[in-house]
Amino acid sequence: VNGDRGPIREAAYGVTKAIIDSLWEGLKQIPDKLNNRDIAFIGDPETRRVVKEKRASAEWALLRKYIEDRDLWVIVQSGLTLRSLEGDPLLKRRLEHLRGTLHSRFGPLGVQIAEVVQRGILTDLVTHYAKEGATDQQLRAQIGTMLGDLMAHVEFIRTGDDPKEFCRKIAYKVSIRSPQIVMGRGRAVDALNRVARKIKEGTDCHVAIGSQDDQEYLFVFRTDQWRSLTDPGPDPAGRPSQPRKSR
Amino acid sequence: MEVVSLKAVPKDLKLAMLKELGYELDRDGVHVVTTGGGERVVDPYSSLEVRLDNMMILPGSAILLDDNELSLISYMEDKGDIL
Repeated sequence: VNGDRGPIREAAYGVTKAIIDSLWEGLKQIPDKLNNRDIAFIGDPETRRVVKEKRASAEWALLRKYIEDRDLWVIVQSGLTLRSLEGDPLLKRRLEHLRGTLHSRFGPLGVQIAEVVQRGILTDLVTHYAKEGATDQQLRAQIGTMLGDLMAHVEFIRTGDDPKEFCRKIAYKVSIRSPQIVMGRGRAVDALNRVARKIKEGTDCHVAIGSQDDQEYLFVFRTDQWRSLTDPGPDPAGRPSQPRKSR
Repeated sequence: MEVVSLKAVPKDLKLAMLKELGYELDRDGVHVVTTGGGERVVDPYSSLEVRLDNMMILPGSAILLDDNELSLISYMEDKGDIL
């Protein structure tokens, strides 16, 4: 259903001779029809189908709750759309076109944020925070800050990286900006798991692991920040709040 | 609202529609320009020059866009889910 304009005539996708004839006959009325929102001329029906599907998805509804910036709305929906386009060789040209338009409008940061969404990492992070009891207001502030300065929060691990050195680097970075997201793909996943163990054993950071396809990622939270996000606040009866224990 | 895919609309009909809207084809036979002035039409959301073979004409005051997901998402954020 299309707002107050009634149902959209999907049958128009299979543009028939009758539709072509009626467009020729009604040529002079097309400007008025467009002004009155009675007609729209799309390109590939798949573009519209994918966009509408993503805008109606539960994942977008969840993420939108915590994102206040309108540009980020566009970038995040584009990231969800990239996920729909990946993997199918027939859609490769469209995927690259979308990445190109993201880059030309929002620069490298826009592409990076869309990729974090494409990989499901942002959704996992939001879900992780929400499960631990962070309030909507805390989540909005945290997600907004992190996406605005994404690359300061992301590290990519490679096969040859020394886990001990990498752990030290993450501990330093997380002391400045929490959370840190460490991403590893393919054979670098082994190195990532070694780093995860070292961080858990050698620091008091809160660590969570996620994965998608051949990629794994760690969320590393500074403990004081993690506690402030997941602290339920003062008890209404006046009892002091108990910080939750990091896993 | 009637939604028509331009992918199956013949070129002569697309050109006739553009003429009604104050546009025509550039001399290169690819890009859309404003009638007379010759300015190439640029998609405000993607900054791409609009091409006859990859365009959308969307309601409002006849907005010409490049057919890509980012432009459509941006349009829907501006105008609502009208399509």
